[in-house]
Amino acid sequence: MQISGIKSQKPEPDLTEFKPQFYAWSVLAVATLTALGIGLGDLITPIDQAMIYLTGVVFIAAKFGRGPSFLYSFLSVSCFNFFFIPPIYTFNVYDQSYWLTFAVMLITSVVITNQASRLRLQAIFSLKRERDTQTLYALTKALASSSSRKDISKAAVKHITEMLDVDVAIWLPTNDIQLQSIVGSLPKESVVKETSVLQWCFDNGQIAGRHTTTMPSAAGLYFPMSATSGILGVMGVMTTNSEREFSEAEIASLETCANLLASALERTNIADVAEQSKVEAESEKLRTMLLSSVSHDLRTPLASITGASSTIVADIDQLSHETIRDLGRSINKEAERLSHLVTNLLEATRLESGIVQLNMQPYFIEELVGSALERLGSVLSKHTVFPESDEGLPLVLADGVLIEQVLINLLENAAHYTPAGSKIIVSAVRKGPIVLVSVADNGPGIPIGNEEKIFDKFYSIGQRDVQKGTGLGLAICAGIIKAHQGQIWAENRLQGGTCFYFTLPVSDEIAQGMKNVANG
Amino acid sequence: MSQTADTSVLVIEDEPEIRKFLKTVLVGHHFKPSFAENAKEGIKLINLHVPEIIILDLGLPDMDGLEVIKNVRQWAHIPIIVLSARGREQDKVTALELGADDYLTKPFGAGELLARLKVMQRHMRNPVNSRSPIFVNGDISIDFDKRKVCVGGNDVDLTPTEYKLLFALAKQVGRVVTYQQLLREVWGKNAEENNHYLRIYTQHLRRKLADDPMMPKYIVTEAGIGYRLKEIA
Repeated sequence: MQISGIKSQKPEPDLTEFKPQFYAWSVLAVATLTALGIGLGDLITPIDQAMIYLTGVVFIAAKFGRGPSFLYSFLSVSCFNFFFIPPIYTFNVYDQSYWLTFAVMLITSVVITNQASRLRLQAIFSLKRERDTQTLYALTKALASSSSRKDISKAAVKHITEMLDVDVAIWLPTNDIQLQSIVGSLPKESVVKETSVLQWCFDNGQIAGRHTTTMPSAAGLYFPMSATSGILGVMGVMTTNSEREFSEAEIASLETCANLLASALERTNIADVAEQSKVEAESEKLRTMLLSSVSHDLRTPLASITGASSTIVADIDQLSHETIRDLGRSINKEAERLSHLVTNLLEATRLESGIVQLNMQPYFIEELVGSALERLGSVLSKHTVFPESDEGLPLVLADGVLIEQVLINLLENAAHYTPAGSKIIVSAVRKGPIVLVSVADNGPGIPIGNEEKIFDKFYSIGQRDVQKGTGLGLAICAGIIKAHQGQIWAENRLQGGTCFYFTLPVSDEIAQGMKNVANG
Repeated sequence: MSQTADTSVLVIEDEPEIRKFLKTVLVGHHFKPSFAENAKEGIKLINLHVPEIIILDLGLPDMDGLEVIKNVRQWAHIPIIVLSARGREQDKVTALELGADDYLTKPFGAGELLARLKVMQRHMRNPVNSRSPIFVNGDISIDFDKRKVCVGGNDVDLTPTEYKLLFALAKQVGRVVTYQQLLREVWGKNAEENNHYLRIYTQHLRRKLADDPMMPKYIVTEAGIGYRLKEIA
């Protein structure tokens, strides 16, 4: 199918329209054929000349339609009488039998005109129909391949503009009430009037505006986009030239376009609903997983605490000081674990619900590494931490408490996955407009292909062991870094182990401020 | 003040289990605790007995703990340590700005609590205006009269701003000082928005004191709250 061909085709002349130049062609044709007859002189009989005139009517009728053809018929009979029938140069006729010739000529001309112009009309209409069909086909195809409401609307506008050379605008309702322009806009003349036509069209599901019975004085013509689920929006058409009027056929094909558009939009609505319920089902599943995962993670330390503390309560007299101290230590350790878990859970809930308000302040990232290490204290006591940083790192704008939490989670993660005595390297470097922070360990690394999944909530569910957390920690890191317009990712190190990276943007304003302070 | 006299501590806390825990710790370390379950009772007891230290939970059932601080600060400089949950940094900053002396994030251990109380006791025994002209904390020594700073016996050349910053932290050694308090004290009232000044001068100061910000020996960052000059025994 040659869709691209449509664009180059100019609109065909409309047969019903009055075109002076067509009549001029008729006059010219009669004049030429008359001159030819006179030029040939005695070589032809008057009857031959009548035949020449009749041949001409076929072309005129086929080319220019009924009106010019009638004019041609009348003129040719007149000229035939005037120039070729004795006495010539008068309209008098000596031989009365020529009146019959005139009548036959006229009748034949009329019959030919009728037939030829009907053929011409048919040809024009079928060409038009083919073009419309092609446009509609192209539109259908474009609509089928677009998935968003915006893309669908854009595709429709493009095709309708090509088909009819008009301005097209599309409105879709937001929150089921307010119409909002997706593509195009109202004609400038009278926004108030156009808005009310637009709304009327949407509310009543009927075509309105120009050429219609409802507010015919409006500049635009508005089609409701009606589908089985109701009116989905309004398509407005405005002519670029205010003189121009739409033909019935044009209005019909615009209506078809509006209906095509409606069904395409309905399709995406259905897809949206399906997607929505899928998401809901997914989050329901996640919630269930969270509950089982969290209750497991909460119960484990609680069990140790209950066991150890009840032992002390029941058997304090039989226990040695050493045993009591051991039990106390394990209570303490498990309580810290619980506390960390609860902190992460609360943080996750806060991030999820969107109630986190970032308290952005300038920080040197080294300071936050320092406070994270300070807060972790005993958790890292069995590991050796090597902090490294470039001299003269710029300030970053960050919520210090949250970034500290990211560092705590990453460091603790590293401590969890590596045996006692392992090295953990925390480093911070500047890379152009960002500060890149990394936490590297020499643990077992991440299973290949899971480098992104580990940031999913509850990733560790599948392969948990008691030592590992809920997997919430990394998801929280991802949420916090995202809120800071940074990036976070993990890589396996060539020499073994994992390296987590995150970036924070350097604030230009702050960088400028630093310069001023340094100079002042 | 004699070492043997028990310091009186008023605990304003509505959770009975935490009161019990605090009682055990305080009695075990020679403090003389009294308890209030809510703010009203707390204010009454403060007026009645004038404790030497107040431990105040910010989440009380009858009124905001911040109101207690405002009330007490109208007439007394009794040291106040506030207890607050994590993630409520703004509450802590507000409490400190209103005149609380330090804070503890729940849950906290006995060790942390005792460390804070000891700092308070030392400050009570050694008020700012009667302090000796030589301040010593670990390797750092400051001669307030001569404005001289030494680290490990070597003179450190500080700019006037750096000195003011160190001085502000040293006065409150062991206690957290909020960013705003430091900005006000070093740069004046109108500088509270210029957080980056504070960061940059703290960085300079740390460098001169050979203090690694990633593993600080002296100046500790408390994210979202302030700085603390660690007290080194």
